[in-house]
Parts: sequence; structure tokens; C-alpha cells
Amino acid sequence: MPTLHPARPAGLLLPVLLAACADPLDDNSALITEERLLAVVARPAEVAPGATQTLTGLWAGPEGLIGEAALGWGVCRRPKPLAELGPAAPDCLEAENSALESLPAGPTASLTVPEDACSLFGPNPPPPVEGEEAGRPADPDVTGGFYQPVAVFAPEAAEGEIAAGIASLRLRCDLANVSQETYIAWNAGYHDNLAPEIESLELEVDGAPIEVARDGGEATAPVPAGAAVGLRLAWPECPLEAACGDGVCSGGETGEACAEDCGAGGLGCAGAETYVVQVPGTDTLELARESVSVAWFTTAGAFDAPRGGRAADDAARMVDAEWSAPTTPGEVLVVAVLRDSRGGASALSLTLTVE
Amino acid sequence: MIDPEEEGDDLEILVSAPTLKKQAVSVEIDAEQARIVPGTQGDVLRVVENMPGVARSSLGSGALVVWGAAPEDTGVYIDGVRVPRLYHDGGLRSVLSGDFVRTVELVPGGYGAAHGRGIGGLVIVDTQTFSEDEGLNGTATADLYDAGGSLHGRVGERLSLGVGGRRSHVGPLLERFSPEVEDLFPVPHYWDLQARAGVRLRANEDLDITFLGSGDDTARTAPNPDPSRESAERRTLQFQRLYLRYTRDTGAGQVIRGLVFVGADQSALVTRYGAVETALRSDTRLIGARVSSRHRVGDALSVEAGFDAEIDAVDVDRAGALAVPAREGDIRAFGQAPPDQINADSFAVVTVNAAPYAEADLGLAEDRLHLIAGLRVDPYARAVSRSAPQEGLSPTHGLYEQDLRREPRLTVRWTPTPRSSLMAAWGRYGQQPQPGDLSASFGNPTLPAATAVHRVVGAGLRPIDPLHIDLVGFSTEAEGIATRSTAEQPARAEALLPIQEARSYGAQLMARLDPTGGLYGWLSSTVAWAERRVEGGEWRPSDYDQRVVLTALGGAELPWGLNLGLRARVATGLPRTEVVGALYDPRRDLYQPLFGAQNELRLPTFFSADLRFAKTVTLPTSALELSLEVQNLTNRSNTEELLYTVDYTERGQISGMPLLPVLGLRWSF
Repeated sequence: MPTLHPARPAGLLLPVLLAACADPLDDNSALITEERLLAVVARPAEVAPGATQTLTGLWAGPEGLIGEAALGWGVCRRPKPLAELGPAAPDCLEAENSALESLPAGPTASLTVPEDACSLFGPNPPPPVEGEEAGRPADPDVTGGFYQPVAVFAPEAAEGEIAAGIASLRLRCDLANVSQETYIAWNAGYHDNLAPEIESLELEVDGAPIEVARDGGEATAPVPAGAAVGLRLAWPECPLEAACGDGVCSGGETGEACAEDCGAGGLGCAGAETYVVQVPGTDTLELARESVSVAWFTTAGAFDAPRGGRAADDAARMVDAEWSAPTTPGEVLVVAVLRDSRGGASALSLTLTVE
Repeated sequence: MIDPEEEGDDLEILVSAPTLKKQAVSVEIDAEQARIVPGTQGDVLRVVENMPGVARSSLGSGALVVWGAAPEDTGVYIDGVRVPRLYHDGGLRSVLSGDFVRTVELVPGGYGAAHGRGIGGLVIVDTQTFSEDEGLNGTATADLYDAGGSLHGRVGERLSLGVGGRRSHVGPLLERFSPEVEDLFPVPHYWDLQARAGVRLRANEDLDITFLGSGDDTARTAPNPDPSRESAERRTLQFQRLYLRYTRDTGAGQVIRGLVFVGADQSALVTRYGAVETALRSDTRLIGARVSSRHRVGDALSVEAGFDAEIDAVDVDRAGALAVPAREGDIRAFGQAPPDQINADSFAVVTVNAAPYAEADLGLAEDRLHLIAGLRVDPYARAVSRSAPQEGLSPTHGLYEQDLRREPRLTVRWTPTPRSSLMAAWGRYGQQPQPGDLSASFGNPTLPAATAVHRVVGAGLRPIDPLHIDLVGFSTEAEGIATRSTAEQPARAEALLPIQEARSYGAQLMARLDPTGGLYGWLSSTVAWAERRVEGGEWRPSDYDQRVVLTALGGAELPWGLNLGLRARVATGLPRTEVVGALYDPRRDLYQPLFGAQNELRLPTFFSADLRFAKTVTLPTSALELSLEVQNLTNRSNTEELLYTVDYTERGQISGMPLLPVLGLRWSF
């Protein structure tokens, strides 16, 4: 069992160093050593109950992406207990459990969000249970979001097998427990999340850029064996302040005030968007901005940091990482998953030929 | 339970006593002896961790777990005034300068009617009055962690004064020389201050006023390239107490005591994981009084009657994730990301405890058999400003609850021979819910007072003169403890439910060797089970279930002002819940652990040997003591916590302190 000893001189000065270490063991989660789920991409990224979403599971193994994996999909129909720290009720983690409504197996799934999703997982009162007091609605996340859990199972998962992952699909629910005035302002100024998109992925070795060849959906590039490869992933710029006519329906901007940007569903931005959110426990709204994070995955080699990102108050729109290529020639898969804090995601894969 | 009135020994360890003020089972030690116990770095009150019935807390937690009760269930009283903690953050130091301590007593359970408002044990600290000082005295101390001092003495015939305090310098030193360390490790910053003025009104009649203050501020940040994974935590706690104490001892069996106090606590725990900030802040003002009068009625009977009251007004602000901070019964892994669903609540709580009590001590069979019967009545009243979660601009409604409790206590003590004694005690106890748990959004405003029953039996033996052996068996049962609702759709304002039950049972042994020829020592051992369950469910090990704790310590006064002490401690590990797998959460790019049976895994057994060596140099009008304390002599790697890789595929450990020499200096005059 690996042991973390207090580093000297800290060990000499600080006997009180418990509860202190963040990820002190090596984080090898970027390395794909077995078949696993890397991401679930939902389009649209945020929908109201009754609407339909397309879900795509990014399933990969040591040999690369498995595009035609017959993933199992189960729509969770049970709220999670308050004491549960995970994303869903324990029953919703098991294959074939009655708490799940199955969708056809495949790499993608088409989901019509249940009409009662905002009651089970959102701010609306839960369905009444005879003989019991009114139930407690779910709490929102820090972005004001509520999520429909969907279990994703490995291909041919047996009954009772634990899900490979729980996708949480952002629901467009009404704002509850606020005055009418606040509700109206929120309803006009809040716009559904547009998933972030990867604008570019640049590679360089020793300061020299490496050209990425693109052939349809395939992206490939050669890299020297054992090289330290710099990667820079960027996403589109979104306006920090609303301005009518800038082509983006920013948070707080309304169709009434700016039909050009916000008419007919509004024009989103595939970067760090702004949005309006209720200040918890109050009747007021505030303008917030998404944070963005990037997760890297690879079938060989190693990243210096498997994750990076930008906080909401950081205007930069790119993340750098360093990938150490393996010393043996061969093809290596690198995957970047871009996420925003409102639950949107997109992914990009790249095949690197180590020479 | 033998010869508790014996006085004059250098080492005073009283394991219960037949007088009315003593408890059925307790260990009391005076300050001078406590100060030289190895492993405590000269801190008088840290001797408590060596006493039987006390679990070894994880390094850095400073939590006081007595007979398996949660730390918040054990009350800490300084001169009868409740204070929120015994130790500063990290458990390195107590909140009271050693020069202000006269004795410290641990009562793990089964105590009499004079105390209440807690379902666990008691730590009773009795302070110095300085009325017997000759002139002006003082001390100055310094070691690796902090520096402090005190000045005290008598002014004229009737007035006595004292002031003391200490301040940590670990944090400031690191800030200056290695600021990045504090980004990773929770370095405690603490201070405490004491001041007292006393006047002897008449012979055996004293009045004094005392101020106690303490502050802690501990913070850490765990940076991460991904801001959504950066975590930080800051906890602060300050408290202040001002009390006026009156004592009159007529010498004819009548003792009258009066105490009034005011105080305030300010505490905050703010954690952040990514953008999710969770905060629990409370601001408490309190006022209280304690009066008692003891009378002897004839030769065989003495009676004490009293009134013990405390009113707390608490403003609470809670925000963030519901499941933070963790509470007993939560299943989680160290470092696990908290949920990101948030809420907020601000509310006020007023708790009223006003308990009259009476206790009678009847001595029979030529004073060899004592029956001590007591009754305490406490309303456990409380008002909460918000009975339901806030909805828009709707006006809020409060509520008032009370649980009038009659708490009988009974102790029987039999001393068949001068060298042996037998004892049994039984009592009913209660405790107000924690103010933060009364939130309509995070807890339940209607939580009742928890109740407990303690049962104690014991025997004492003094086979040869310097050796005392005391064996105590105990069992406690508590119910009405708040725990998280496991319902899929809990009712509004019922995030917590008073449906948890607790029980603990076991035995403790204390064998002590009175100072003889400059030698002293003791062996304390506890074997205990602490379990919890939700009403009607299966019992499971409590988070505080430490089955065996064994402490052996001894010392010798050597020629030339030398003093040598050695302590060895063995403690079986606290329970943890095994991680049996993990589940990927693609939205947050996190793995969530999957757990096995609750608390079925154990941290490895802890062992540590500590050495204290001191040399006292006598100067013309003062004395200088230079001490070297070597902790963890064997440099054993003790596991303090289990930690996991981010995907929970590999388990590691956080090990405790390596061999650590601590130099200390104490100048007294």
C-alpha cells in the first residue's frame, strides 16, 4: 500500500497534516487500460421535460475508441436520498433494476425526457404519496441546474451489474420559490445551455508546431517517440457582457430587448457562456459565467496533468497540457473532453503516430 | 475508589470519592503532575488523552471521544462554565494555559445531578485562585509550536491577580519561510488568553472574576490545474467567557457556591470544492448561572441543592451542499468530492436549559455504604426562527419546542474494607440538538433533545500501599440522535430525523503507582464497543468505535534536577467503510466510490512510544527547565487515514508523525 509521509521539513514542523492531501497518489485516470466510459455528449445540452435529446457515449478501450459499442441505457426514475453523495439513487446503478426505464442499446440513445422529471429531480413538488407529508424538492447545483440521471452500462451488462457511469442531463425546469417578478425576469433572461465546442487543438514539440491531418472525422498527426508533446485546446470566445447585436444571446439578455440575438430561441455561444441564476435562499438573481474544464485521455504515454480548466472569473479560453509520448512506435489515441459547468460536453479524438 | 481524601502526594489521581461532589467514576490529576506526562508536550490538559475511557483521536483532529460518545456529546467545563472545546485545532494544545489549571478531572459517565446537558462524559477543569501565592510569580514557555507565559500572585492580603496566554508561531514561521506548505497542510493558528482577579472577602469566603478567550484559524488549499477540482477549507472558532464566582465554606459541612457567566462563540467552517462553497457559520451569545448549597444533616446525611442554567442565542448561516460537513453515519471516503447540489438558510435558535437539581448522600454502616440519589429536571426548551424552508417572499414562521425531562441519578458505593470498594451507578441524561441541525433546509427544526442512560459498576483495590487498581464496567444507551433521512422523498424540513440510537459498553482499568522514591506510573486500558443504528435496524460499529486503548506511562525524578518519563500507547484502529468499486460521473468528470458494509474496515493498530527528558536548573530567584520530548521513538509509520486514487482503483495511506523531537523551555519565577 503506497504511503504518504509528511515531507521534511514539513514533517518536522507539522505534525498536523491530515485531511490535507489532494490527490496525493498518482492520478493515472487519463490512461485507458480497459474498456470504459469517457464522456456522454447530449444534444441539445439542456431540454425541458417532454423534449428529445440524443445521447452519445464515448466508449474506449486500450485499442482506441469503440464506435459501435452496444451500450446499455437506463433512465433513472427514482430520486436519490439526501444522504447519497453520488449522482443517482443506488437502485439506478444496477442493470435491469426496476428503477430504470431501459432505452435501446447502442452507442447512442434517443431520450424523451420524462414529463415528471422536474418533480423527481427538480424544483417542483415531488409526486404526492398517500398518507405522507409533501416531499422535499431537489436542490439545484451551483449553476441553478437540475439533472435527469441516465445510467450507462457496458455492452451486454448482466442483471445487477453496476453501471459504467451515470450521465446527468440538464433539465430546463421552472424557477421555484421566488416571487412572480423574479420568476418573470429569470424566465426571460435565462437561456438554455449550448454545449461547448472545441475550436482548435494544436500540437507542438520543442516549440515546433505539428500539423494535424484531418480526413472526415479522423484526425491524425505524427510525433517522435519519447517526445514531450505540448497540446493547446481552445474554445470559442463568448462575450463577458451582453451587447445587442453581438450575435450571442447572453445571460440576462431578453428577446424583448434584443430580438436580433435572442429571438426564436436565441443564439448561444459554444464557450464559457454567461447565465442568470438565483442566489440560493433569496429572491434575487445574479449573472454568472460558466467555468470550463478539459479532461485528457490516452491509450499510451502520460499527461503531466490529466485535467485542466478555467474558472468562471478567468477570461482565458484555452488550456495547455503536456503529453509524454511512449518510447515505442505505434498508434496512440488521445481524447480531449471539454465540459462546461452547466453540464454540456463535447469531445475530440486524435490518433498520434509515434515514430 | 480508594482513599480519595488522601492529600499531599505529589501525584494525586482520584478515582471517584465518597464525598458528594465527587463522581461515581472519575480520574482526577493535578496540574504539576500532568505537565510532565510524556507525549503531552507539557500541556496540562492533554493528560486527558491518557485517561481510561478516552479513545485515541486521529492525529490532528483533537476530538475527544469518551466511552464511544460523539465529541459533541462530552461537555468541557472550566470552573463550571461550559466551553466549546478542550483543545485547539489539531489537538496540539489545550485552550487553557497550564498555569491556570489546578486539577483536571475526566468523568466518562454516570455522573451526578449537578451536571447535565450532555449524553456523553464530562471534563471538569478546576483553576488556580492564586490566593496562596507568595508575592508575584510567573512562567515563560516556548517550544516548536508556540510561546506563552503567565504572571500571577497575591497583592496584599486579600487580592490575587493572574494573567496568562499563549500564541502559536508554527503558522507565522511557515508563512515566512515556506508559505507554500500552508497551501497543502492545515497549519493551526491559535491563541488563548486568561485573566483573573480574586478577593478573599472573609476567611473561607472568596469572590473572583475570570476572563477566558481562545481563537483558532486553520486553513488549507489543495490547488489543482482544473479549477473545478480545487479544494479549500477554513475553520475558525473563537470563544470568550467572563464569569463571577463566589464560594463560601463554613467548615461545618456547608458549602455555598454561586457562578454567573456570559460568553460568546463565533465559529465558521467554510469548505470549497470547485465552485461549490459550503459554509456553516454560527454566532452564539450565552448567559448562565450555577448556584449550589450543600448542607450536612446529621452525621449520616448530606444534601446538595442547586440550580444550573444556561441560555444560548445562536445565529446560524448555512449554505452549500447538504451533506457537508460530514456527520456520524455518513458513508464516504477520504477526499471524496461532495455533492454539488446546494441550498442556503439563515436562522436563529434560542436554547434554554434551566435545571434545578438535588442530591442526597446517605452514609450507612459506619460510613462504609453510601447511597447517593439525585434528581435533575431540565425543560430543554428551544425556539427556532424558521420552521420551514424559505419560499419566495413569504413571511417565515418560527416554532417553540420543549422536552421536559426528569433525570434521576443514583450511585451506591460500598467500602467493605479499607483496601477495597465496590460501586454501581445509574443515571438518565439529555442533550439539546446541535443548533446547526435545526435548519429547515439542512436539518429539522423539530429535532427533540436526545436522551441517554448510563450504567456503571466498579471495584477498587489497594493490594499494597503505593498501588491502586480500579476496574469499571459500563454501558450507555442513547436515542433521539439526529441522522440523515434516507427517504427518497423526505418531507420538507426533515433532512434530519431523530431516529438514530447509540450504545456503548465495555470496561476500563486503571492501575496507578503513587509517587514512591521518585517513581510514578500508571496503566490505563479501555475495551469498548460503540455502535449505532437507525431505529429498528441492525447495529453497526459507530464512527467512534475504538475497541482497545492501552496507555502505559511512568517516570522518575533523578538527581541533579533531571526528570525522565516514558509513555507507550496502543490503540486499535477506527472503522472505515471499504471502497469496493467506483462509478464514473461524466458530468463532473469524477469517480464516485461504491462502498461495502458500513464501518467493517479498520485502520491498522496504532502504536507510539514517547520519551520526555527534562533538566531543571535552579537559579537564585527562579528556575529554568529545558525539556526534550521525543515523539514516536520507534519512528513507526502509523496509518491515520486511508486515501484513494481519483478512480478508487488503488488505496494508500496517510501516515502520522515520524520520530519528532520537540525542545521546550520553561522559565518560572
